[in-house]
Amino acid sequence: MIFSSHIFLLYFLPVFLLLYFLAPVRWRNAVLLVASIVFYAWGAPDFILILLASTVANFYLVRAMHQAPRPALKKLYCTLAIVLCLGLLAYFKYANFFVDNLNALLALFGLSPLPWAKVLLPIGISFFTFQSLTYVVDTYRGVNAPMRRLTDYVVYIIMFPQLIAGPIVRYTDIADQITARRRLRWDECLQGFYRFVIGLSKKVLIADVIGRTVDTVLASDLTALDSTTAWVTIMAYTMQLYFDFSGYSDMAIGLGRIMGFRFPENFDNPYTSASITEFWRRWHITLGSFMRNYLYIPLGGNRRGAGRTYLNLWIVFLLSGLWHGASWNYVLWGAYHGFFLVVERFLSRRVPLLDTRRRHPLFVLPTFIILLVGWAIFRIEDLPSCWLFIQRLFAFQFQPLDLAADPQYYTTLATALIFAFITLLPLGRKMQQAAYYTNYRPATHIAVWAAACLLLFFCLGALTATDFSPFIYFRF
Amino acid sequence: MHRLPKILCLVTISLLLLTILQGLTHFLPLKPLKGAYLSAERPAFTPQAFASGQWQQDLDHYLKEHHGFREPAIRLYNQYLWTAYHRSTNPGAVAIGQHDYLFEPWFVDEYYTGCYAHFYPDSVPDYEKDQVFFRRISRLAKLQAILDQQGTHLFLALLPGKERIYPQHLPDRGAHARSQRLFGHHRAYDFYRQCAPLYGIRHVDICHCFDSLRGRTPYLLFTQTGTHWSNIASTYAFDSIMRFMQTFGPAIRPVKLGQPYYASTREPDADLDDLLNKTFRIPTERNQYVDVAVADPAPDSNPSLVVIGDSFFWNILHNYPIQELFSNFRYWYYFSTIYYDTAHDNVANIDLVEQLLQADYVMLSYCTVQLYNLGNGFVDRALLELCYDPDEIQAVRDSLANAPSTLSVDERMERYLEQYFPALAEEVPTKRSSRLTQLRP
Repeated sequence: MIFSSHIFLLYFLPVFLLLYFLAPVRWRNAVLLVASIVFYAWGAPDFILILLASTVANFYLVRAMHQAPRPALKKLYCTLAIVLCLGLLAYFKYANFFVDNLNALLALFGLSPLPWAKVLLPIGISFFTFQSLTYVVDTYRGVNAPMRRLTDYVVYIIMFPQLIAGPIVRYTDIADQITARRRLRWDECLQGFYRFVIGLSKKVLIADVIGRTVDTVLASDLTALDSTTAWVTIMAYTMQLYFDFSGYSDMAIGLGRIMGFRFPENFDNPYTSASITEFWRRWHITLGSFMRNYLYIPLGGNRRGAGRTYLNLWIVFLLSGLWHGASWNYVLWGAYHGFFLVVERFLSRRVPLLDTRRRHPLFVLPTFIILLVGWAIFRIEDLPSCWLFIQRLFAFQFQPLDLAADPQYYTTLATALIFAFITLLPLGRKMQQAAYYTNYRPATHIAVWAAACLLLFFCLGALTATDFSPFIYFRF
Repeated sequence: MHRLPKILCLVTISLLLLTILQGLTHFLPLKPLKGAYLSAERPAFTPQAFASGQWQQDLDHYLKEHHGFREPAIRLYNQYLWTAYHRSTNPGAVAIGQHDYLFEPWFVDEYYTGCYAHFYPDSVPDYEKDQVFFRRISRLAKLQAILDQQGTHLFLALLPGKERIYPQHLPDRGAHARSQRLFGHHRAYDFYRQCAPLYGIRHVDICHCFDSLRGRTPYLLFTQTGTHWSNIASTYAFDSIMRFMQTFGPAIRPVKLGQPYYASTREPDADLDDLLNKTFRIPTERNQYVDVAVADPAPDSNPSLVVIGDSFFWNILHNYPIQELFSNFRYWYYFSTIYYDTAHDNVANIDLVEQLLQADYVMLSYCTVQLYNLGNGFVDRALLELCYDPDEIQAVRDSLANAPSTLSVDERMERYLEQYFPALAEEVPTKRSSRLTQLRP
């Protein structure tokens, strides 16, 4: 089930909210657990048992680890739990990729390929694997004690708002919120509702609209693409991805807020970054934080000299790329970002102007251009096509745009660009603060609530109307 | 006021629950959406369908078409698209032309490329495409001759298309669009207009008539937001058609046309605008209408009429009390679905020979855009069934079905009809089906 589906918006969510609000506080986790199982089983009935079984196994392994009397035994249980999490991820997400590449290699030497039945990818596995890992590692490190009740742990792992696409919620950030449920605060519920509607609007009214044209252009003959169209298309994809992903995060955070949880923020105006280093502090923040805490620092971080720091950065970003998808273009995308991070780190120590610790607004544009090229690598899986597209970007064969050809696309793209960069201005920052975090006065609350309801209804219209194409009469 | 957030939250949940209730019970009567579409059926639950995810997918599709307050939600969004971008959410059925004129997309295609250009694949050479039309008109002439001998008057009504009458309002496709025209005859209409007299086809060219009236009438020949000829224009046109019919066939009860008057838009004069399913209609000039009255007294018997054609005839059915003018009226829509016949619903189930012999008039009523497929298979089938017995036809079909070919049996029958049924190669076939002698000894 996805948040922008009719079944979720019009049936699942209202019924869930009714039951959740009617349930006594001590039963709310149970309602959330059942709803989350239904939510996941709806989209991936084949995998719900795998998800539950691995979660239960992880819970008991971590409990055993916590109770183990000797450090060696603790370490063993920790290793087992990590192997279980990563093993599932490796099998479901990367086995096909590995076998395909191995078979290509075997074919190169004239050997027959390995017989292999394709493995289907359970939705959300990348996210719940990482959450499980934070539970294992944080408990092992003694940051938190393990959960006492299995149901609480399962709620943490499969809580439906963030199960499919994050944010990746660290165990330490939410443990107390799950185990010590408090009474609902209606103003927070309302804030959550507003946040959910903002997220839905970002997805339905901006990302989906832009995405339709982007898909059409990228499916066309790339050799015939002029540079203007190529740049506009990749800029549009950049906006599509941001508004889609951050919209989904907004919906997750909003739903969490309605239920009384505070999930971490996942985006902070990433395209206003003045360096790639800053970008990764603003884009998919919970992934960046996970990678830093559970990979970069354990690898040694920046404590083992410059050379090792650069290597660690590269490893982190290669793996980060691979985490996004089992395909070479994601690896390349990770390497591309890793390269710029290393270069920035190298130069920022030597050229004061390029010191990433100091923000230079002038560098927003070059950073954005680097990101655009990176998103081309990310979007176009087929590497020769990706190379062709990048060639078209830099062919400098610019043609005037026919803005009248698709006014909705260009208007939406312009709107997206304005929203993406508006916080470069103080006024923009104020507007964002007002939309996301303000506790309104009563009169404003009513106005904002009415606008949110209208926007929700409007999104519903967009979702329903898009494929509704009747004819006057049936024709033969 | 500290209770306000709680009240707003509860109202929000109530509104969401109300949507479910509306979807289930439709307790609030809402103006239905316009247009024809295949509605999704509620999927039957099976464990297998659930496990594969198909049931969930089908259910979501079903709910998309049946959720509460769907109608105003769609209208609101479509109104936004129209107001902000002049865009249609239904580009498959509505093309937006200049000056807010609306067209069905195939009328636009007809103007720029010729509809029969995309009816055949590019791989088919031009001369073969031309041959299709020559075959059709030649067979039509033979059918007309045979039916004349039986007292049934077949005729062709060439109806105008909006693209022909108001090309200045078509969407602009750029300077190169018109170069895509094909063949010696760019349009099916041009072909029939020129060749019908040469083959002796009885026909009335309403399209030519509209062409000459363009800009000279106080009313619109086609409305701004409708796909068909305007209500008033079609009323006058059918009056002319009936006069034409009586030049070669039995008398029809006279009708009296009233004085034209302005009135708010009636169906189907804004059918394309309605199809956009917006909140508000596009503002247009007021349309004129004229009332039709059948003069008394009724004759002893009215002539019978079969109409084979496209949707343009619906306008006439809106205006004329057709069953008071014609007995045994039948509308064989695209020679497929049957209207005004309680006994049959599809031409596949009728005794075509019997039906044709019962008719005084058979009208082929096609607008410019649909002429590329004149008759929709009627001419071949009628010709064959009038001249050959069912078992003879079936024998040929069986042999064709057993012979390997890249073409289907129907395609081969259409292409090589005279080869498989040699009697049809004669200028006026003399062979007759035994059904004919059974029905008219």
